[in-house]
Amino acid sequence: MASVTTDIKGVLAGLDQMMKRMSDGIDQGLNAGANLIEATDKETEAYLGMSGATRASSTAYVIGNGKDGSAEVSAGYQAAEAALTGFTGHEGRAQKTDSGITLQSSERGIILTSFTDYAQALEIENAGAKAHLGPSLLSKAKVVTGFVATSVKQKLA
Amino acid sequence: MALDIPTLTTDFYTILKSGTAGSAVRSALGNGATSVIPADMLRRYNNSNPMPARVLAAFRGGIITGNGRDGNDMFMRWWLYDDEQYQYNRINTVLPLIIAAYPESVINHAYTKLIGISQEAPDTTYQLPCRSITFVLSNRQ
Repeated sequence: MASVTTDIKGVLAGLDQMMKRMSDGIDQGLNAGANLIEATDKETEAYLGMSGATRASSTAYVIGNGKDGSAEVSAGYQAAEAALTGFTGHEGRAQKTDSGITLQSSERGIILTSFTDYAQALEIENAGAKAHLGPSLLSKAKVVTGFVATSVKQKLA
Repeated sequence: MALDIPTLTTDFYTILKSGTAGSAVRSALGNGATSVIPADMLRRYNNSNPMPARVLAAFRGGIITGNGRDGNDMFMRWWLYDDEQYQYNRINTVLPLIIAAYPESVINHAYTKLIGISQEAPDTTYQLPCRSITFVLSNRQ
């Protein structure tokens, strides 16, 4: 009886390459999405601001796949500190705390935040009258999904 | 059909204010339909015009995204308030009742979907425990 041996190493190598290209596409799309979300939040009209610290420190960054946003967090915190240095209009201070978000190994995402100790109050007070982080994120969520899909498609082409 | 913002907004609000689907929610609030208010009314209350009895549900219409051709999403948010001594215990029992009041097809010409519930954190303006629950109405033309 004849036997057939099939070498699937080439197929597996091809699949590995495809997965890497998809991963690169996802990262590219999410990076573009984070830039868009951050720009959207910096232009928000949901609040006026007094010191400029919230707007200056508004930061969107990608997490997952080896990214933890530490550089972006540092830059955002420094922007809040700089804006609040010498400001006496209120007693707010720059602040950075752990997001508390834990991703599974295969997950990636975008965090949008600002680095003042009154950022949370701004989102909640008066039934969210000045909330901006959620609206900025939601307003671009579908666009970001499109960015990722397009980037993956381009990488696989 | 064209995006009918006033009708969709009113329909969403009315479900808790007076609709049949919201009757269980009203029963769990401080003073029934009186404890269902537009969020901007919160600023009007003071010692001589006190806030309705808690648990209180305050409505705020959110952003509207999308374009007509590919559909629009209208984000709607209820803010639940309670007195400090109850913390979030009573608020947390009302939240599932609100979820049950908004099944997918409860509003004409739109799909209704729960987006999420905020963390427990006080509204520093009123120093009251509060949580928000956000829905999206997806309209297709």
